[in-house]
Amino acid sequence: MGIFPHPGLVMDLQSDTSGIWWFVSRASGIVAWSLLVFSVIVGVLLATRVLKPSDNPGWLYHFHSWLSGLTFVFAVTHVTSLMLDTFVTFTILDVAVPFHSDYMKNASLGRFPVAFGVLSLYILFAVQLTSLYRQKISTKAWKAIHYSSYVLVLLVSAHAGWTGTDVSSWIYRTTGIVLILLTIVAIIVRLTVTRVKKS
Amino acid sequence: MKMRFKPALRSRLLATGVSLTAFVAIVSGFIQESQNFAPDQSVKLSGTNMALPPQVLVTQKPIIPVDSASTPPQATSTSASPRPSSSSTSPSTITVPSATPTNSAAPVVNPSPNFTNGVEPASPAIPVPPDVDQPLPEEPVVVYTCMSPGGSTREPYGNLCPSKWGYFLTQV
Repeated sequence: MGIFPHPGLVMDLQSDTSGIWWFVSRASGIVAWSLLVFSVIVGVLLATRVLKPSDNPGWLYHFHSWLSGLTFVFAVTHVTSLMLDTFVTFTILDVAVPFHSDYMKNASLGRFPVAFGVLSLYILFAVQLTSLYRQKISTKAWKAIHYSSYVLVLLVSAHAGWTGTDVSSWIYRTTGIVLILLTIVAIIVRLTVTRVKKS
Repeated sequence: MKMRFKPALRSRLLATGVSLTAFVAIVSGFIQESQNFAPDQSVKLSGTNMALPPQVLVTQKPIIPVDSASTPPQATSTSASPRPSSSSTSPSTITVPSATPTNSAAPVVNPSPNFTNGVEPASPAIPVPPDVDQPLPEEPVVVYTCMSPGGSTREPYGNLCPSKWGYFLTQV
């Protein structure tokens, strides 16, 4: 039996495991957000080669791909566990159609935060898919889609900041602020530093 | 035999391990947090700033029909005494003092000095004894109900409401 903080509140957490999906969803969302930011950072390091000659472009490329794949896995876990969760009900339409879910963390923001998450999933899927089949599409198309990663990370940050359950937690806030700052720095570096051309 | 990994493979394994470790640690933290949850902190823990209006606290108390006109104010001092079990000593009965008690066995509960001067309550109506067969009112039970910003309600999961939701109490 769990703790009874109030006599009128009946709870039995240890015997009720249905809420585990709610925890899994929140945790996987946080991990996916972190992985996405680090993937973008590594991608920026690869694109700009600011660490040259100390860097290893091959290692950066493979590590960037691996981080992106991990991000995708945790994002899918995030969405799947949301649908499996019975505490906050999300249907397939809620996670697939923007602005369909009525989940509102902040009423003044309406359905935008969740819609940002849905759009982020589509962008992430598109970036992953075009990277897997990069050889079969033009470089121009691949690059155009890949540049949407910067929009993606901003959308995810807004999604996490406005719908995150743990926004009041100082750990979550600190993590979020650090991730957003890292994202801003990466974008600034990407915009300001021109790629070092091969000699 | 010492295993040798390529640098990229080692980095991948490290990234995967760190991610999974962080994931498991966060889930464990959430589970532990939910077990140490205090409902009074639900709004704080959930991160919502939605302050529930205080009027949602509904208090329902059992109503005992007592004729207030026949009950002198001093009699309220007996309300703190233990409730007698006999029907002849129901709350209404003992709060109406009699100037000439005919039954010596009847309990005299805190006689008021006003009645020693022969002043009787005007037209002492015969109080209707409440049904003492009813069980004593139980301790108030507070029921927590989760409420969404849109106003819909649902039962809490264990001791947790959804993060976006607040909660309100119903005391019955």
